[in-house]
Amino acid sequence: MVNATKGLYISCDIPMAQFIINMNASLPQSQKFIFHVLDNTHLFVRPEVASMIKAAIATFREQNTYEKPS
Amino acid sequence: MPQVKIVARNFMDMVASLPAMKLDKLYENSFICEAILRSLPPLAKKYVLQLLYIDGPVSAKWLEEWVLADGASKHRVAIDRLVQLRVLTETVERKKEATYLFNPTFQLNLQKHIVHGGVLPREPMPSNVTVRLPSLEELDTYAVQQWEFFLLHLINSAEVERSTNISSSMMKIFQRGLLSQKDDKEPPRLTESGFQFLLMDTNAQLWYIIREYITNCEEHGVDTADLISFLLELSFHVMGKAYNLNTLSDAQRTIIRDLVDLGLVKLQQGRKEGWFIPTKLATNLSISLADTTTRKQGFVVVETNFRMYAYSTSKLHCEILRLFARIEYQLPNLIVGAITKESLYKAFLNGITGEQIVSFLQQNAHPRVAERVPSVPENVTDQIRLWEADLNRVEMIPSHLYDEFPSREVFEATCDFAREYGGLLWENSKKMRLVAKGEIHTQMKEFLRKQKQ
Repeated sequence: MVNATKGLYISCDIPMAQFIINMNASLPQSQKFIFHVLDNTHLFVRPEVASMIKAAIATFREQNTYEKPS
Repeated sequence: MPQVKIVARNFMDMVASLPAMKLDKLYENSFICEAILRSLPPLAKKYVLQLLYIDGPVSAKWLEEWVLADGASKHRVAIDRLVQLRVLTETVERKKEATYLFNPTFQLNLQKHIVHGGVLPREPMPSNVTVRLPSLEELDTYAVQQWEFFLLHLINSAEVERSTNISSSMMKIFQRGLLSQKDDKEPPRLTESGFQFLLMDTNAQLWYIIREYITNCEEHGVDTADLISFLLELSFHVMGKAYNLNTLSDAQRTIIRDLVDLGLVKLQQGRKEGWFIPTKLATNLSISLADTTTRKQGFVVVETNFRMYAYSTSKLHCEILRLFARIEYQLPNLIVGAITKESLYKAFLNGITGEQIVSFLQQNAHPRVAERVPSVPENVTDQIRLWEADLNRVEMIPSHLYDEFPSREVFEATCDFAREYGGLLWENSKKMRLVAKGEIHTQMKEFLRKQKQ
């Protein structure tokens, strides 16, 4: 009998995929959100974590931004 | 991010959507017939002129014979447009084929118009009465001033000094799609469509406002058809000439007062009479959107070091530039700013796309740099696009993963089914796993249930 799992399909570039996988690995077992790593640019994750992933990417982006010391 | 575009629909689309009786009443005005003729696609214009003096129905077969085989789609488009505008009415009789009949009012009026030429219901006033007639440049500056003032008022009532005559309920209607207010204590903020509206060019903005004005005039007791016919008539007046106010009916006089606030006409008072003068904005009303013959002068210079110099004194321009650039200082004739990552991120988060910013800068390029190719430096446009892409690195689609298929045939069939609906996102035939969009989940369930039987 075919099994259907509801989730979020993530499509991104390879560095971002690695970033998300790393973030997943650092979380405790109960909070891990990746169901499957489909290939090196696509992931299938739990639906609730969308905003958490977006926030993490935003902080990562801001860490890489140069702010001129005023 | 969802792309909400404000499409300033053609005036003619709005005319075409009127109910049949109102449309027939409109066609009694020969200027409207001419305006409609002007707005038709070229093939439709040809058909109208060829059928103009033919009384009685014309068979559809004849019309098709006028076109070569590869023009069939253009023919269809033209015919559909004419039927939509009720210029041609289609009748299909039982045994015979479709025939088209020219709308008699339209036909009569257009014939009269061609033979006698267009005569406006009013004539310009003699120049000995109209002493202080403004020159064309003064009229242009007046129109631009009024329009900018109206726009400023529209987006930010707090910053404006003068008050406008447009009633606050009308302002609210205009602001409906453009501003949103979270609660009564905070000032209203621009919505995504509001930002896009500001970056459109003047003609497109004017149409949006006029369209809103027309769709709401019914509540004020003005008939839509009357309003449209008056506006179209106005667009045929000569710009810069004075027309006596007492040739207008009362309803038309109220409309004129509203149009003053928008910058479409200028009112002046003589010793005994008052008159109105149509401006460039009014005469542009019947021109189609694609016609960009009147290009206003640009004012923005963008340099390769991301600095921006805008030679303008207008507050509206300052507000618009503030949307996506960091304004550093304002001099008496110059606004200096810089396009920075933070200012662009702010703009992207507000719903403006990089493409809109780039096209705004290109359309408003200062004449000094406008003839240079490209008018905005490539490193600036590329960087704007790169920063925009940086915000959208990850795409997330709610979907379902299907696995544990009983057999390969079922898997292949499900794959094909999902592909037909355009919902297949990923499949792996080795592990027999499939990811499909969330929207088609119910159909997938149905399909799989049928497969089981």
